[in-house]
Amino acid sequence: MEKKKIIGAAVIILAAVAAVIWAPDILPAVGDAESPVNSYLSTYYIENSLEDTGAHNMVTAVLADYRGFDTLFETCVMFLAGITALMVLSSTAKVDKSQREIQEPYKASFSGTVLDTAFRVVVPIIVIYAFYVFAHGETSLGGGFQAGALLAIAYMIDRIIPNFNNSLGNMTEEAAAMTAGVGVFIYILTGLLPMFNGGNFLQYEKLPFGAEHAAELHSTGIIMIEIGVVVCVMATIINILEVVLERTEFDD
Amino acid sequence: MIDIIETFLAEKGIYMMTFVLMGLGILGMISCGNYMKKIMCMNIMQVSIIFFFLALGQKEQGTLPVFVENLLGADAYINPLPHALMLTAIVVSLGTTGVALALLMKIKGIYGTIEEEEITGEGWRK
Amino acid sequence: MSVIILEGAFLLLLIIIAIVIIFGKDLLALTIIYCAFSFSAMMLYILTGAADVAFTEAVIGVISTVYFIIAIKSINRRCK
Repeated sequence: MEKKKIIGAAVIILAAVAAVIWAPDILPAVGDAESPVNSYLSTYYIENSLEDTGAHNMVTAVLADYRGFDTLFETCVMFLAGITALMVLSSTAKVDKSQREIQEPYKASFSGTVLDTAFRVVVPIIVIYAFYVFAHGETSLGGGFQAGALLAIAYMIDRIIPNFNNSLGNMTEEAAAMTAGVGVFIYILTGLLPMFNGGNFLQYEKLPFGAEHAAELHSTGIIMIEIGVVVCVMATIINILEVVLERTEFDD
Repeated sequence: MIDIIETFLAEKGIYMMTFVLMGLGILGMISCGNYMKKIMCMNIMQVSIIFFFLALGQKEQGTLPVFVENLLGADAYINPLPHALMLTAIVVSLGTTGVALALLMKIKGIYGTIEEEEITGEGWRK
Repeated sequence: MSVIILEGAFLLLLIIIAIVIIFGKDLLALTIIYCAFSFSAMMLYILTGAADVAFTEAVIGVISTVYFIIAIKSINRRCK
């Protein structure tokens, strides 16, 4: 790269730093509890989220309940990202699977007992932990995104370690894209269910399940949309992995 | 001495370093010739922006935004709103990385290289 | 030692890693360094109190590193 580019870009950095130095009153001090960011709406969220939604974790309450539309379209973006990766690379030919055999001098390094046993232990723990994170998303840290990503990591380990031979099942890229669509469909269905009961889109109090308290219905709604998020995120990550992996030549 | 450093960091220093990190990301996206490094620099810029939002929501005496028994009041908890917004931003950044890598492999398949100068040819700048 | 000084230290680490990524030449080494970058970012998020975001960043950092390494297999490892 040339010096001109570096100098031109360094000017941008210096201008940004200088802007912060010369305008000290624009940004509040870090840790200030009285700043505008911490004042109006977030105070309401902190004080009322347990009563309104029954979720102990305020991040989940904001993410899945108060700002459900944000999460809905974010899930759609993930789905679209998977489909886009599939579309971009669909005209490139896949690498022939019969040539994917590991050659003899490298076989020992990929099929050691230590590697095999280690992943045999690690994969079930990751899957159990993913379900724990999903189920405890309301009461403690965690939620749909993390659980979906953890499940995808379990699949990824299974797919990449050659000795394992896909014991968790082999998902083609088209199947993964369709599964991501199912996840978005579950989310939208949860939003549509209250409309049959006379409510608005994603209004959890009007879900057609009999329950005594509104907070219970809120918990049910949050769990339902988290299922959709888990399915969509997991399938999208697997989709992109498969798309890239199927067209990569492993020569060693 | 430590007090002076703390006050400086709280009022300006953290923001300055965040802006420098964002500038480094932009520098990398402009000046690196390799497309893979461009993607990495895009991720660096995203991290700086995410941290900027999180630093705005910080409170000095606050605890994690998970409800604790008998601990009420808005000042006791860190602001959960930037966390919820940035959680989606991180997951979307994974989607953009995946699409960018798919485009990268398409470019590699068509041109045979991912260096900017080799693709555009010599002298395109003159 | 207060939290904000630790935050400054981790931000400095992030800046150093970013400079290394911009001027490095070996893409595989840079990918591993990128993994270290997302790990430091995770520590930074924990210090700001955003444990949910840090959790997500830890998981997503691993996944994007795996993506990069798979993509490196089909492209040239050295760069100019």
